[in-house]
Amino acid sequence: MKHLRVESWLSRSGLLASLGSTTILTVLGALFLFLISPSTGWGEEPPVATATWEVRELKGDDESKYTVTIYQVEAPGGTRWIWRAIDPENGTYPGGFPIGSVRLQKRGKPRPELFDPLSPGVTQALIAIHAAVAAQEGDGWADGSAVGIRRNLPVKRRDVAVETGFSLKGSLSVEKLEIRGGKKPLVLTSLEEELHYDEKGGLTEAHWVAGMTRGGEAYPGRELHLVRKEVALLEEEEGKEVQRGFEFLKPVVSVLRKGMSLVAVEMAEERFNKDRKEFAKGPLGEVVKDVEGMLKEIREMASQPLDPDERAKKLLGKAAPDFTLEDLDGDEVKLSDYLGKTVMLAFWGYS
Amino acid sequence: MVLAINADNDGRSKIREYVKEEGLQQKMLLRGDGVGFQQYHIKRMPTVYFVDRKGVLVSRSPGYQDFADLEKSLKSTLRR
Repeated sequence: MKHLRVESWLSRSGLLASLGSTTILTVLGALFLFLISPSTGWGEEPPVATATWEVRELKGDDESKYTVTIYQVEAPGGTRWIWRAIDPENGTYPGGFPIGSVRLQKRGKPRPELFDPLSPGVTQALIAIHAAVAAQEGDGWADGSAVGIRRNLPVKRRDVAVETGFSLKGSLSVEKLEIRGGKKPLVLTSLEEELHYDEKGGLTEAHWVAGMTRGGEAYPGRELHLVRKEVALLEEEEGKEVQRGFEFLKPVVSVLRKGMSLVAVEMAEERFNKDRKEFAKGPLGEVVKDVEGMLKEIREMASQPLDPDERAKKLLGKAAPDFTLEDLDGDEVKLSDYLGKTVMLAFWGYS
Repeated sequence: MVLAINADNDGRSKIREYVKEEGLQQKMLLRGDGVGFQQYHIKRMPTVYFVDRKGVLVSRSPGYQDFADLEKSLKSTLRR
């Protein structure tokens, strides 16, 4: 970051000094320096900002951790979050790809732009952050995405005393909520939400813990924990650099995603190598490096025989690639959960 | 255990209807983002893989198969 303008930008908004914390709550949306669509009235200067979050996600006993860095930039019709996510411990990317974007519409929910697969975890975290920014005391709605439920959940929030900034605690305002019907209905039995804000009204931490039952029996609950590590406003120039870097990476990542043919990979490589040096120095330099490594890997794969049969033969005799997919009831099924059983995998279509 | 992964992106209701019509018993999984299809290099439908108890991929049968052939693959996987 060349230059931090957080202070000056905030004092220019002229609101901070005159407001107590309760009032701040109600104007939270208008105050917060990042993560907000321009509809809330930024005046002439939309916020170009960056923030890094640590994410911890729990599904039953399954835990995943990663770091997600969000760049907030301008986009037609709203604001765009360009994100990069990485598991710092082993250098892998949640969902398999290091970069993606979400457009924040002026109204309604963030819309993932599907130029590459948004990792479900990352999407969930981004939507959760976005929703928590607008939280208010009293009766309201929590975005269930935070705990893997694609609908709004009724919560009651109250302001609780903390040493610095302020904090909201929320819990499910109904006794239980049926999420999915059927023979074994999935029921949300509890939801605890905790949101922390700094004295400027910026979200610093958000936690959700959900308890569920299925068909009346215990069912693995879900948790999402978000902790903000860094936040900064960006110089206009730097914001543009992020945008340009993203536009540069987008088609390449798209090929990584879809194109397994050698020709497609070579075309992507050519395009990538032409301008790589320029962007390697920019704010997305780390992602450029990631993508370079991925291109090499995928090239190796693409130079192997193109016939899927030939490729598949190499899989035999080795551990079956693991996957997690949803069944018709929306439950996640993981191949490795069936270790100890013989499994027949049938890939099928109607035709 | 039979896991059947659907290739189309038709959503639950259509698959459910089909499953009901045909009286299918397998565990039906949705395509999701298609990663499963990439991992397993699926070109033709249906393609059947057998995974033994230790999680090792032991056989692959692309395209429509005689029941006899599938049975043979299944039996040899079960023996492992």
